[in-house]
Amino acid sequence: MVKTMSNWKNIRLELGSTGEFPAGSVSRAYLLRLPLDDADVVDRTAFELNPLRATVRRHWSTEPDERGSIVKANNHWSIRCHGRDRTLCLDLEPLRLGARVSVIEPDGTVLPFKIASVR
Amino acid sequence: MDKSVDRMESRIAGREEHLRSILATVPDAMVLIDEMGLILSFSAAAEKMFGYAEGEVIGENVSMLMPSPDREQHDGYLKKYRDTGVRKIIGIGRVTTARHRDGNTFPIELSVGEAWVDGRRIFTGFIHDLTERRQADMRLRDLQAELAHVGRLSEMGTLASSLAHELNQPLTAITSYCEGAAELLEGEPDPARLSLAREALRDTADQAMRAGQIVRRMREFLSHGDTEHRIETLSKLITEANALALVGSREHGIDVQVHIDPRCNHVFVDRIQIQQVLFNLVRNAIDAMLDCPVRSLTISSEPEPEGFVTISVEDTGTGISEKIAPQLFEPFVTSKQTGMGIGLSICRTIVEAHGGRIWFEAGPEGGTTFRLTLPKAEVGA
Repeated sequence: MVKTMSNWKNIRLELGSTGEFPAGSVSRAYLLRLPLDDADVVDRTAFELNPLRATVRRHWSTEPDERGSIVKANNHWSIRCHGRDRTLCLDLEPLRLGARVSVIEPDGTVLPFKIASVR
Repeated sequence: MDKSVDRMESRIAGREEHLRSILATVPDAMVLIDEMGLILSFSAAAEKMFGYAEGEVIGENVSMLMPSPDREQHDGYLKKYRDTGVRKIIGIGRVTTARHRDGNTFPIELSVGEAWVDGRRIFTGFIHDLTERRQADMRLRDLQAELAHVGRLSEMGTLASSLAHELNQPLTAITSYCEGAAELLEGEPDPARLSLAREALRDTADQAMRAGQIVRRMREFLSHGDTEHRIETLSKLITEANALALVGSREHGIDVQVHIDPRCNHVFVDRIQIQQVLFNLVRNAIDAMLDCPVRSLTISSEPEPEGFVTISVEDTGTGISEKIAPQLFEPFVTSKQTGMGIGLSICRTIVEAHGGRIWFEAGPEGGTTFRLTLPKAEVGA
């Protein structure tokens, strides 16, 4: 079955609790554009049909905005912005409001994020 | 004594409640920040406008509500004000762009007030969402610009007829003087014939000068207008034009990035005209991306070539069809269902009147980049 483009979603991740920000931070966020299937898991077929459509924006307080692409490499998802790759730990968990997602920074730091909206 | 204090406290509490009820119903958002830019208070209208709850943003830097480049520069603006006391926005206000929690930007009118409370300086920002009001304004401005251009084209048509008529006379005279001189120079040299030939050539030169004067008069006529060239800040021109052009596009989820090279942030231009150009280019870029999955708009500047600034407006849209590309800057050429196809013609007229040029390039992965050059203004340190 050919899927329509309607399942492409804008998913906003906001920084969860860390040592520096115990209450998390709404001003440190990623905006992912990814296709989700009926179970709210990344739809790989739709992704592979339009990989260039999978984009990301990084809005980090007091740092310049970044934007880039979401790529699938070596069995993991990666956020590629300004020549830097960060690992996006999506696994097979449903991407729903309130769900947790981790991002591994280039230096190995693991940052927890919470899904703040899916539109 | 106690009763008097009680009455006073009650009166103050009543006033506070009254003020709070007013602020809760005012449609403009109100954001209170300290002198370091950290959010102290976030009104109900601000919550609605930006999509954040007050509890989430208290203590955050207010720059989180702005897109680049203001976001990175806002701390610097505050520091400069603390250091110099020179007001750039307080009590003046400006049209700029804000960013919603969902990442989309929207045009706003920002007014900032300053107050001292318990020895601490605070700033109050009143934010008016211009999205709806500006839609009508901008359509009106579009139409006015189109009509003005059509009017000018019509004037040019009339002028072209009279120009052809006026130029025809000296050109006919030049032709006959040259033919006469050529005949006079045929055969053996004769002082009398040479003298006549010289006279014919002098008359030829006079007629050529007359033709030149007619052309100059026409150029003066065409360049006549209410233009006012001044040193302008490029980032401000772009921010304002961009804010206005984004009106009505919020729902389309356009990702806008602005990168201004600080080495070339001043240009010598007519502000209104150049904003018209930038507005047209951004609107075109938005229109070109509406049916595209990726909608990214990047406006940037660079200090090239020497003495000029190059501004680029890059989109990820459908690109320009080969059919209309060669005539893209000609009037009445368009790929749109609506519109007269004179926007880019206006842009070229304006840019060239500033001594610059405008062109476009196709992106490697689709999309189009429009570039224009404007005279750079040197501003003393």
